[in-house]
Amino acid sequence: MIIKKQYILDGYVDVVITGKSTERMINDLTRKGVSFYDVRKVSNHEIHLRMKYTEAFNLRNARKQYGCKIHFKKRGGVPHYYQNRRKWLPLVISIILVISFIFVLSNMVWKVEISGGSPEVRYEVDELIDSLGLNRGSFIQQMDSISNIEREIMNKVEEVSYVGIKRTGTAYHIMIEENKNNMNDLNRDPSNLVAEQTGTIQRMYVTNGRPVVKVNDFVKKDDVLVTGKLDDEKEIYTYSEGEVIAEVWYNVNGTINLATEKRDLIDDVEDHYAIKFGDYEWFPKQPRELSLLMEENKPVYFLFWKTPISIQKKYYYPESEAVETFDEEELLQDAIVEQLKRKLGQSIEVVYQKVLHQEKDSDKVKLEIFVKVLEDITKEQIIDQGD
Amino acid sequence: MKRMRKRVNQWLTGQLQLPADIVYDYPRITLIGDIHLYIENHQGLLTFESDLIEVKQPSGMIRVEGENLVIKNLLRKEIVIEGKISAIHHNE
Repeated sequence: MIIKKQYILDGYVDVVITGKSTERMINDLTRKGVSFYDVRKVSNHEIHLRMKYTEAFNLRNARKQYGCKIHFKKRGGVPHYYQNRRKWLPLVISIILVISFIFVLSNMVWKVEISGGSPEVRYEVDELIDSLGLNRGSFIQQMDSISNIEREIMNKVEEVSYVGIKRTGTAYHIMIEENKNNMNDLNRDPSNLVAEQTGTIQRMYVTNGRPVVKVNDFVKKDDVLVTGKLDDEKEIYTYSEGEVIAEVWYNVNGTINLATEKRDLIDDVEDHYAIKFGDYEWFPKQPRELSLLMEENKPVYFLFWKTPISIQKKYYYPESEAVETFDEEELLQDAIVEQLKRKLGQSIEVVYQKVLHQEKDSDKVKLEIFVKVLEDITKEQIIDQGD
Repeated sequence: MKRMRKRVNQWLTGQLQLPADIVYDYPRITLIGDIHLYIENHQGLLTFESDLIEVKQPSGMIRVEGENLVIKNLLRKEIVIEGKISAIHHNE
C-alpha cells in the first residue's frame, strides 16, 4: 500500500527495454524478486522503467532469453549523488575552511590605535590595555568589556581625564584626553581657602598661598584660612592650595539594626560558559544549584556583523543565608564607626567619641553620639577681584 | 476434498471473521478515486499497454482499462497502477 521509495536510498537506474516480449521478461524478473518502478509503455516495443541499481545485473541473463535490447539511461539516488559529490569535496572543504577562517579572524583584534595625549601617557595606556586583553591578535571574547577597560584606564593612569574607545569592525580606536590641570597652574583663578567647619586647627600643610591662621587657632565656619592675596598693599593674587586638618566636634544621631541578614558572597565564585543562540542557551557543563551573581555577554562576530550566537560567562556563588545576632557591645562599636563614616566621610579620623544617649527598641538602637574627629576643613573660594 | 476446503474457508470467513483475501488467497484490490489502483497478492503481469493492463491472479485475471496507465511499482506481491482508470474486469 505504501509507495516504496527505497530505490532512492539504494540508488537506481533508468532503463529502456526494446523488444517483442518485454512484458514476459518483466513478469519473469518480478517473480524472481526484482522490483520495477515507473513502468511506462512508450510504444509497442519499447518500455521505460526504473529499477534498483543493485538489481540491474539480472537484466543481462533475461535479455538473451527474451531477445530484448537494453539501454541504460540515467543513474540516480543517494549512492550516485554521493559518488558525484566526491568530485566536489575538495571545493566544499575549501569553502568551509575559508568561511571558518574568516569567522575566526573576524573575532580577533586586528588593530589598536591610541590617539591624543603625550607619548608617555600613550605608552602607559598601551601597556595597560595589553594586560587587559586588548592587544593585536587576541580574541574579542577574551578581553574585558569596553566600559571596563575605559574605567581601568581612568583609574590606573592618573594623567588621563577622558578615555573613549571606539570599535570599528576589528579595529579599536582609543582616544585619550590628558589632564592639563598641572600645566595651567599660572592661569588658575586666585582663590582663598575658607573653613567648612568650626574647629581647632591641628596641622597645616599649605602648598600655595599665604596662611593667615596658625596651629591651635580656633576657627569658625567661613573664616579665611589661606589667602590668595600675597601682599596687603599691592594687588598680587594667586590661587591657594593646601590641607588644614582641624579637630571638629559633631553630634551624630543614628539608628542601628542589631539583627542583620548576612549573605556570604564572592567567597567561592564559580564561572560557567554558555553558548547562546537567540534566546536559547546551551551549557556544556550544567551548573549545580547555585545563585547567579553576574553574567557577561560576548557576541560572536562575522566580518562586520554580529551573529545571533554569543558566548556567555556566568558567575555563580553558593548561597547561604543566615540571620545572625551579634554580641551587642561589639556590634554597637562597629556600627557606630560605620555610621560615622557614612555621615562624615570616609577619610575622617575619630579622636574621641562618647555615647550621650542610647535607646533600645527590640532590635533597633537609637543613638546620640558626641565625637571629635580630625578632618580637612578647607574649601576653595574664588576671590572676586571686582573686574 | 475441494468442496470441504471451500466450506472450511466459508466458515473461517463467516464465523471467525478472518479477512477474505488471506483465507481464499485472493488478491486485495484497492482503488483510490480513479487515479491509483493497488493490487496485492498478484501472480504476474500479462499485458501492459498504456490503456490496458492485465494482471494474473489465482482465479483468472484482472483487466484494468484506462488512459495513460503507468505501473508505479512492480514488486513480487504488489502492483501499483497510476493513471486514469475507467474499468476493472474480473475474468475467470
